[in-house]
Amino acid sequence: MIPQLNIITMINSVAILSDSTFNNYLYMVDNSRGQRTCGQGTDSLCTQVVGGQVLNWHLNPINIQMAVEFGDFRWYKDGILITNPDDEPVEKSKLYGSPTTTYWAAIVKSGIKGQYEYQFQVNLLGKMLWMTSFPRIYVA
Amino acid sequence: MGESDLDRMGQRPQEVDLSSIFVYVTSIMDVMEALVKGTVDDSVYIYDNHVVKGSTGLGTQTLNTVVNPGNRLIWSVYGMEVETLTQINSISGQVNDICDIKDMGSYLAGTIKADTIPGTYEYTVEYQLESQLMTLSTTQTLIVESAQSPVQGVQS
Repeated sequence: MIPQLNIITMINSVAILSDSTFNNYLYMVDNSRGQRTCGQGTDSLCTQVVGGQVLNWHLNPINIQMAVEFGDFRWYKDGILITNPDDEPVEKSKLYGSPTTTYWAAIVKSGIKGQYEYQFQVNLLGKMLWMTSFPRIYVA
Repeated sequence: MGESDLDRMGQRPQEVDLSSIFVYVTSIMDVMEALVKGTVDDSVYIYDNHVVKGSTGLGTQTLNTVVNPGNRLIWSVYGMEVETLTQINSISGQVNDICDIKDMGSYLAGTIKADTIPGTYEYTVEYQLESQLMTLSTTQTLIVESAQSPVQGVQS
């Protein structure tokens, strides 16, 4: 059985709204513990995964009084935006299994390998912002 | 000198009540890894929301949080595996001399005393992971600045 993987994102939502930029106010960690995992604690996390693995993204505000939510996700290959969902590295690129949008899950497709970058939107008090960095997954 | 928007609002920067600010110190814990190793060292990432005030060490195990007298501090922890139980059990060290920390159940909170002398105050954090208690071997610090200290911006 392939263990599920959690990717936790902490954001300083007040600073982001104040500066109108993510500007190093977003921090990501995961529990992959893989050899190709790097960037823990930064906005450019690289997470080693395998085909068939369930990935769970969680979004938490450092300022616990401010609610934050995920918006959309988008994927890149070698820096180029993937527009065809069939080319995305994950299945079910939609909210999966939970009614809350502070949680987003997907399954890594089988039979693919390599690095894929992604970005997600964050909803801050109704303001939808795309993150400015490019965290990634590495499919081993 | 012309009147600024802030002047018209009757709130110049130096008149902002810094003591009204909440400061959040949040840990993210790889609970499973810590339980396997028997230590929280290298399994925790600590952040605060005061990077614009000059806090350093975000994402490490040696966070230095800039605060002012009167600031309300909230210490909390998230587990990477959301099914696991983790919380901050206690905080010890010099910070207890300047801040009356109370256990609020899911987090610890305390207010920096108004008469705190500016300086650096160290503390250590003891976490509860499921039924185990583990203390982080590194120390964190609160860097108390006077209420009249200018706001420090983050260099991009």
